[in-house]
This record gives sequence, structure tokens and C-alpha cells, in this order.
Amino acid sequence: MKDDFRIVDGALDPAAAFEAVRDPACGAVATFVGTVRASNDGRSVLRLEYEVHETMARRQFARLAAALRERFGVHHVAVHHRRGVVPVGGASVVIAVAAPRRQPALAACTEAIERLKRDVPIWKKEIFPDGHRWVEGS
Amino acid sequence: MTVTLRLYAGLRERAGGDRLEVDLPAGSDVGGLRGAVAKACPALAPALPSCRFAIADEFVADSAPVPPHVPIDLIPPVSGG
Repeated sequence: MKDDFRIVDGALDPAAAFEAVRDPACGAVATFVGTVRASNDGRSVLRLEYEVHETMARRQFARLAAALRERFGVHHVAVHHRRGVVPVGGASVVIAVAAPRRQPALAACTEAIERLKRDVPIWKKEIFPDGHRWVEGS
Repeated sequence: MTVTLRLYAGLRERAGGDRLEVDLPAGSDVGGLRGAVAKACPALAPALPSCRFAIADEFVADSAPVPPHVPIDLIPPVSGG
């Protein structure tokens, strides 16, 4: 197993997550890239700012990977998440999951982003033209 | 005993700082702490029902004991991704 969890202050490179997990024993790498949308709830979003509780986030990433391994039999999991300011259109998270076959890889990738959004202590602040808002729950 | 809570994101903004000291009877559980936080900082009270507590980087249930001399994280609903 070669899991790869990163909290990143600069731009994310989806290829880095792919490279971290690919493996001759695996016939599939499923990836998910979350990007910043220009509007939310009808309001124009200028950018997002991410805050991360790093030690706890790393612990929760490890739990997430263990759960995917147990449930789907995946071999490797990479999660790279941004911290700080991310512009509209920028990548905020990259997930890559390697498994012997495509179905478990795809299912595990979906489960990974759902678990991340539920249990990993990361918060986004939406910056609007006329103010800001911390997003609580998603 | 006095418990130090660490606040994040929207909670830090509501409370106006990243730490909150709360007095609590020895032997209290996390549920008791939840009630004490609402009294110590009314600005946080509306948000508390949806918050979780964490000790040593793990979420803890309301039935867990509150250990002395350990900072406790108050985790608002997360919004990563």
C-alpha cells in the first residue's frame, strides 16, 4: 500500500495523485478533481479560502483509506487537498484510487469524496463581492 | 476544572478568538461540556447542536469523559472538497 495524503499550499497537479497510486497490479485508477464554482446559491463567488486542521485531517484521511481498502479492496489511495486561497476554476481537491478492476476503483472514489465531505476537518470560506461566508456542511 | 477549546473556521469568527476556556465540574462528559460551552459563549450556542468534539485528533461521543489538561477541538460541520 502506498497511500499519499497531502495538504498543499500551492496549485494541485492531478497527475501527481495519479502517479502516487498507479501500480502494475492495478488495472484501474479512478480520479476525482473538485474545482471552484463561480457561483453558489445564486451568489457570485470570487474565490474560496480553505482552512485545514492538519493533524486531524491526516488522521481522517488514513481512516478513509482504511475503510476503502476494507470495503472495496482497493490497493492505494491518494488525497491531495488545497489550503488557503483557490481561485474560481482552480482545483481544490484531487483523489486517486487504484484497484485491480474498474468497478471497485470507481465506487471507492465516489465513497472517498463523500467521506471527505463528511468527516475530514477542512472548511471553505466563500468570498463574495460584498462579503464572505464560512460554509458549514456540504 | 478548566478546559481549553480550540475553535475553527466559522466558530472562531463567531466567538471572536481561536480559544475558549470553559469551567467544568471534574468528571464531566463531553455532553456536559457542550452545555457549558453554550453558557460560556452564547454566540456559539446556535451552532453547537451540529458541532462535533475531537480529542487527540479523533471525534468523541457526548458520552466520552472530558480529560483534564488536554485541549479539545470544537469541530463545526466540515466543508472540504
